[in-house]
Amino acid sequence: MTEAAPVHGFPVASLKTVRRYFSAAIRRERRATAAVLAFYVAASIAGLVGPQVLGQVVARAAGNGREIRSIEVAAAVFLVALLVQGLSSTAASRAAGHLTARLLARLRGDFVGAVLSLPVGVVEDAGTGDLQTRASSDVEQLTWSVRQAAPQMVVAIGQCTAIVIALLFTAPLLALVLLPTLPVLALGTRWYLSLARPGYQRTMASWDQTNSRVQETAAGGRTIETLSLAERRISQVDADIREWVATELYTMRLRTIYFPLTEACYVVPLVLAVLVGGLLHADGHLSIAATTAAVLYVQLLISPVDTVLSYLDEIQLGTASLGRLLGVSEIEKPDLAEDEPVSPHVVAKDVHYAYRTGHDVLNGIDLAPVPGSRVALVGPSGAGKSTFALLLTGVHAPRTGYVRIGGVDAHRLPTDRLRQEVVLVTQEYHIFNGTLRENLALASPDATDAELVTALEAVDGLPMLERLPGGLDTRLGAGANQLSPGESQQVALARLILADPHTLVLDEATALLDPRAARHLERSLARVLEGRTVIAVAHRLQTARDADYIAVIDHGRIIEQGSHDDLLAAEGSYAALWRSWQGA
Amino acid sequence: MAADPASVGRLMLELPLADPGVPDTRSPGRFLLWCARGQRRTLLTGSVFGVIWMVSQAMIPLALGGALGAMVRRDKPAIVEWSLVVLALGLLQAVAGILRHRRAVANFLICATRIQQLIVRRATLLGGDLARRVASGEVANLGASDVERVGDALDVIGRFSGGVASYLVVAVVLLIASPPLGAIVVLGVPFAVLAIAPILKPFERRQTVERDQRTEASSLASDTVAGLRVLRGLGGERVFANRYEQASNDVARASMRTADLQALLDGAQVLLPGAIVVAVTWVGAHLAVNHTISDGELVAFYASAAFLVLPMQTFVEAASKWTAAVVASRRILGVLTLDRNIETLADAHDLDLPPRGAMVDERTGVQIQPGLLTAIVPATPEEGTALLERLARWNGPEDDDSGPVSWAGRSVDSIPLGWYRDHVVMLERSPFHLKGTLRQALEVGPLDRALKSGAIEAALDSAQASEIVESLADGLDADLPERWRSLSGGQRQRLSLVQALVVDPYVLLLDDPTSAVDAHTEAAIARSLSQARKGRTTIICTTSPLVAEQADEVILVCDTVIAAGRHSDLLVSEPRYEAVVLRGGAL
Repeated sequence: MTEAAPVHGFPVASLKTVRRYFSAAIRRERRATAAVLAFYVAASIAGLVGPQVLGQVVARAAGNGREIRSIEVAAAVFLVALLVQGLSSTAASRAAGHLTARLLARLRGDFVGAVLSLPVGVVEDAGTGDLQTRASSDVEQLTWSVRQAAPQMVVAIGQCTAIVIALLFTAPLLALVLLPTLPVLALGTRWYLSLARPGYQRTMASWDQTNSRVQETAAGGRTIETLSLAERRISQVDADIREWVATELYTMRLRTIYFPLTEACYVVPLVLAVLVGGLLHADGHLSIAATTAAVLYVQLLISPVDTVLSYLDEIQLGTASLGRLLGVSEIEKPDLAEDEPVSPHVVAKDVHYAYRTGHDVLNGIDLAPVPGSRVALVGPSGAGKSTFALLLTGVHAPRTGYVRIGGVDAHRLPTDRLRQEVVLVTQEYHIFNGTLRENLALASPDATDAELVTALEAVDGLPMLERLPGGLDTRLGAGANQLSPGESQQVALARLILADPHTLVLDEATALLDPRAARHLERSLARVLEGRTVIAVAHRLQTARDADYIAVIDHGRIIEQGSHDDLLAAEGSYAALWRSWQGA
Repeated sequence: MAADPASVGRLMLELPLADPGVPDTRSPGRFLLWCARGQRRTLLTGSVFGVIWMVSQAMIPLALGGALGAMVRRDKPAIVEWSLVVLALGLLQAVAGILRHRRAVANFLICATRIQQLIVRRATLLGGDLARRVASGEVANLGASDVERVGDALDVIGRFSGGVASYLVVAVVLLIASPPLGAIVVLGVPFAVLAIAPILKPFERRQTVERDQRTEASSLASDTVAGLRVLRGLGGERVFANRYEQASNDVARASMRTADLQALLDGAQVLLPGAIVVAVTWVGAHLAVNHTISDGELVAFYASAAFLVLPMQTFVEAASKWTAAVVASRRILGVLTLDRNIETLADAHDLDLPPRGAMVDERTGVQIQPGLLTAIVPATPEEGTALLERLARWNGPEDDDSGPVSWAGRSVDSIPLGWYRDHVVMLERSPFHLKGTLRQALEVGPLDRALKSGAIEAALDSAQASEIVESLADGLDADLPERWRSLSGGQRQRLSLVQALVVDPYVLLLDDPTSAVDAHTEAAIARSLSQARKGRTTIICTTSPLVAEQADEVILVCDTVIAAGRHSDLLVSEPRYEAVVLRGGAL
């Protein structure tokens, strides 16, 4: 693609959709969810026994409380409560871990399923960068939020609730000490999160930037040495570090205000509990048992409140990630044609197309190749050849005019149907992590080895097959055997042969091969594709000469067309180029 | 203390250091010590504040006990006093806590930035040698997580010191009050920590497995997304959906296995410290009934025992972070200990440089005349690349296709490599494309040799690449992604050529630099290139007649020189030449 397509991001699901998805997931896992909650509740309640026991012991020792039969009984109660708390925590944690693992697996599957059914045009328009981020960072963020933050949050909220209730029962008046710092805590947290989140995002981005620069410096060592970039790389990394440190400094300054503020908000209620509780007791309004328990409850509250505040952000980020993952399912499917193509005729008529309104890249192209013929599209860079290839294969819809396959608008054919008719291969290849066999058999999972080898042979791929240690079962891709760009293009073309559509559009599909290898490949490919319509965007004049029909495109228009000999006779720009090629 | 925020901030603003220093690479342990020595001051002050922070937290339960005692006595002034003590301790721990935290951040950053600096300096020193000596996977994994682990090991030191001090304070207070109570804490805490440790190892192993599975599923997802155009264009979605589902289920299973041990760990972290609390309460209650300790003290000891969870968690955390840091250091040292003969890279003041005369590849007999544009038409692309690499000294002596090259009669191996790299530049067939802005990509060449104004524009024109800049919304400030994925093959190739032209070396070697551009553009590049390099030595490996046409001399090579002359003459005189460049045939 020569022209930069405008990038529209994918949609993000609304909070309502996220909530609906979440509650449906919980409903599916009703029993597991109930079990998790029950265990957490049991653990929280058991955790409250300690202060009560202590209050009773103190009361008994002080001689003015309710009689307790013996210290041993109190200790035994405490011990049993501890065992209940420990075992319930274990059970809750295990059940929550299994539940969240299942929820996440389902969500990941749904997401990838949605991605795999995206319309081709949407993928082409939006690019895969945004999806890449969703597939990696958003899944990772959500995993973290669901596996770590959510259970901690549930536990902490449960504990807070239980403690506050226990406090209300023990000494309702003392519960009031929690109130004064509450608004400060709420407002402070709101302020902090609103600044901290973008701050941490900047930190993460600049840390990634630093790391990728270091890694590239290692991987691109030869190029860096060739271009004498060593000193520049060092100073660029130093600059990356400076920026990274600056972002760290920013969030550290925020924490320097926020952390002591929250700490103060925790300590003030405790001080008030001691002071007010103590004075109330001194005046005889409150038993020593209740005062002791209440003070300990207030202190016990600090840790879960802190947990809630520190995971608040993770939960919000997780919700946002979930929104982005679900958003992919919300992409509108284009309006599809119901009629079947009646012939293998591909016809483009007065095609106009613009990436940006008012800037037509194609200015009225007509092309109607004879089925089974070979057409070459030639012309300078940026002439619109690649864009035209996208329209011919139904990826984009023309602004005006039409591209029809057997009488049906190409862009309205369902994807499964479209690719039986016409397939586009560009110079942007992709080799999947997997075996050579998996990489070849995309379109025909049932192809035999003989068929795979035949397809490879047609693209001069036998030397590659011999080079690979495991033959068709050799693992390819990152961290395994790497194919050269040329070999990758051979694989892309072999896939095409196996897919076997009646019309093929090749956009510089051999550009990364050595010119001589490309020429040889094109000839053997031509033998295999005999009888198919081949439309090739070509930059090599030999390719053009071999075609039945040549269209010279410039500024989105066909300026010359005809057979090689016609064009030479016409003495136009093609002829001039050809003569210079011939050294005449 | 008022001056503090500035002091750590100022320290951080000095990062990155002008010189990261020379690390002790004898062993991972020594390396970690070297890192720590470099930031002694922040480590020390971080530990001091860590101690104040944790000890003041440990004292709060004691103060609560004092308050309780006052309540039992209904001593109002004492109640007020004790609540003020609680307030003071609470505020002290808040202030010391943030001061410690700031130093922990500084400790992490000083260490992590220094290591990044060391790695990048080592990588540039090793240059093209690095890829040959380290597996490509290792190069890619270098950095990020390992650097973080070493940083984390220093970050935790302040908290660890605080943990130790607070543990000792609680133990001493209890020992003084009652030896049995003290004994419970003194023995209980190490016992609890040691009891948790055996779960930790397998837990971390399972976490690693889970992380690996997650990475695998995630890279499968990225791979699927990256190849989405192919999948949607050709088919195969079902196969990929199934593959991903399998990987995703593996992740789920691994997560559940981790969750099982996480649950055990969660339970242990409730039960073990809880047991200490129960024991302290039980023994303490007896002592309280006997009036050996007061009620206030009982409450204080109960709360102190409960507080001990914090130092215990810190001990466990520190142990696992230090273990991880040793492993990470070993990996970092894998790169930092690689060396290269720096002698040969040093700039030489050799008066005889550059040699005045032809470059001769003894193996094929190819002669390159100075100041001319020479086109080499090789029998195979590999042969052409090998020839250029010999001339540019990029093949190692161990390579099969090495061979002597002389320049004005002198062996090129006698010329310092540093000078050679600066003056003889080879543009590879598939060079590495570094991420950054287009401007950064084009501002190349040694820093001390300032770019002439207009050099970039001129090079862009010569490589017919100005239209690429114009097509980008931000022009020269456009961001090029990793491997310049946003550009087409032809655009990438032209911009690489621009880079080589900006360097403007004494001798420029180009390996098939126009293979991915269309014929119109190729013809234009060939014309402008011969102008741009007029009077300077340029060697182009090519089979394109459009390029060969512009050369002062064309050399047809198959193991040895087969023919040499001008393009138009060779077309007439040498049928094999015509077969190669016009008909794409073989020799």
